[in-house]
Amino acid sequence: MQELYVSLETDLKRFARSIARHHQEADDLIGHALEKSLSQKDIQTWPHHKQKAWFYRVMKNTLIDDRRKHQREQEWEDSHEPIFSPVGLTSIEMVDLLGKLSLQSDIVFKRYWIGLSNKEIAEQTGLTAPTIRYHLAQAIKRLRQHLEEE
Amino acid sequence: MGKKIGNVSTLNIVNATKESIGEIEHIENVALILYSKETAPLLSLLNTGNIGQTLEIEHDIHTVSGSFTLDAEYLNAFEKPTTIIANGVVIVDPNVTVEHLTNTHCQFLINGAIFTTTKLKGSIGIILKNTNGTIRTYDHQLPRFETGKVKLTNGYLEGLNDHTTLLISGKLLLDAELDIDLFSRKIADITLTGKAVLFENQEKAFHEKSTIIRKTDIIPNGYQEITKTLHLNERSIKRFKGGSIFTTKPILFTESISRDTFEAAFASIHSTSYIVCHEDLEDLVYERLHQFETEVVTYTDAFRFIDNEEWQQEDADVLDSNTTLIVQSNLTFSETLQPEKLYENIQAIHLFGTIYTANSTQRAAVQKLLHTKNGEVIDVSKQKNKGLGNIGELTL
Repeated sequence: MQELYVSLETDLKRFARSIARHHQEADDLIGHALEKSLSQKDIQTWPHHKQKAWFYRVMKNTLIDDRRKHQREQEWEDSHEPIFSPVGLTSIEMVDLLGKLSLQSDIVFKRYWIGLSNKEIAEQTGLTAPTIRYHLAQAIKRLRQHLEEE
Repeated sequence: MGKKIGNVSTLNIVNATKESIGEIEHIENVALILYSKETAPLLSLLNTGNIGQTLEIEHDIHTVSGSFTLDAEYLNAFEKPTTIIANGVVIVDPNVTVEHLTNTHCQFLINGAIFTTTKLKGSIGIILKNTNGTIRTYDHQLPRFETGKVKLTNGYLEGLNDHTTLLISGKLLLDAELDIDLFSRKIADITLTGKAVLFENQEKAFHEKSTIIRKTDIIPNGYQEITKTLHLNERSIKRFKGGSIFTTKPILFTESISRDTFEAAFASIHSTSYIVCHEDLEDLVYERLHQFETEVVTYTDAFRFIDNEEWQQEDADVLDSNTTLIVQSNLTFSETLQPEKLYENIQAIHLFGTIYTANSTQRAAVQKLLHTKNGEVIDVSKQKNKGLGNIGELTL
């Protein structure tokens, strides 16, 4: 395993430092990936570029998970949900947009056109408020993509 | 049994009758109901879910959309009380006075923005019945309204008067060579409903003058913007010659691309979308990414990029084995498609759009093969029959 690390060291350090905020975070990412690689039994038999790709992917995913976790640890409020403004959309555009969402269109309509809170939507739909937030985030991402493509 | 309707943006029952209301069995949600004194009792007969707002309208209703200039003549033209529903931008002409506002029979419901001269700002409320948007002011000449794709170049700016207010509905691009001093002198204010695309060094000057409803993309300095999905092979990738690119669309690299060619093609890739590459290029793609959050989707043998397709059994039969599916928009499976074929030939599905399955067995197969789920899997057989879907404006 030490041999594997030595052969990848320069690349891993360069990549980790390019995505982390500071050296310590970069070193943590490398440490975590190395630890995880111990359970990847055949990794030493892989070609060099695939080993590199595996480490890069693990470090990237770890960083994304860490940042998401950090965000979750902060108290969730409605103000953290994605902002979408129907102002400036005509009724025809609204119908067109909602038509692209199918299952989530009702939640988006209730939240942004009717003005219900996540809690109220949760009560009406039988889903939990965090699930409503998840659906809204997914739906808004897709609506923005559609608006961009126009 | 009457009609079932999904969500309605504006429901107009000003001239409705008991009979016309009775034709509707249920409406899920209504954002705005317009009714008159005479039809107010009918409100209780409506079987609806949530209602955002109700508004009593006394007489005629007119609807205008897009950009609308309101001048003294327009305000004087109506001889009886009229409500005007304006979706978009209303610009109040400088010839409008407080007297015109006081004496007109018009009342406005505005979904969008209203632009008025600074001196009228305090009085404009006289004609506003309801505003779902912003009231903004301008000082010099009438705001200039543009729709569609607008590119701000030095030539375009030279053609404007100093301190112009720009209203844009669509996409605004700032030229890489834009003279920032000229921009600051010519533009007083920009209101954009749509998307702005600009370069990093223009950010400060642009945001000082602009209000964006929707989205802004910032292109890092020195990057070339790619506006369409890139599907690159060993030959076509060579045109990039070691440059840096910015894109909001997917990039697909075919298997034929060698590591050397890839390395020579790009210095950096800034993508807010995703990148599809053979697993032999994965490490190099990561090394070229300008922002680490960009999703990298890899395939081992073959991939299929789906942009609106409907599959029969034959489509699944002809797939190469170990195919990775990337669903960008819609993929619909016909009833006849056997899920076994999906398991047989598909290695993984990366979903960025919607897959419509005809039954729950197909849905289960899709769920099992999903590696990325940034979209929806909808089992059409489970969809409730809601009658009519969402409706923008409904008059009963």
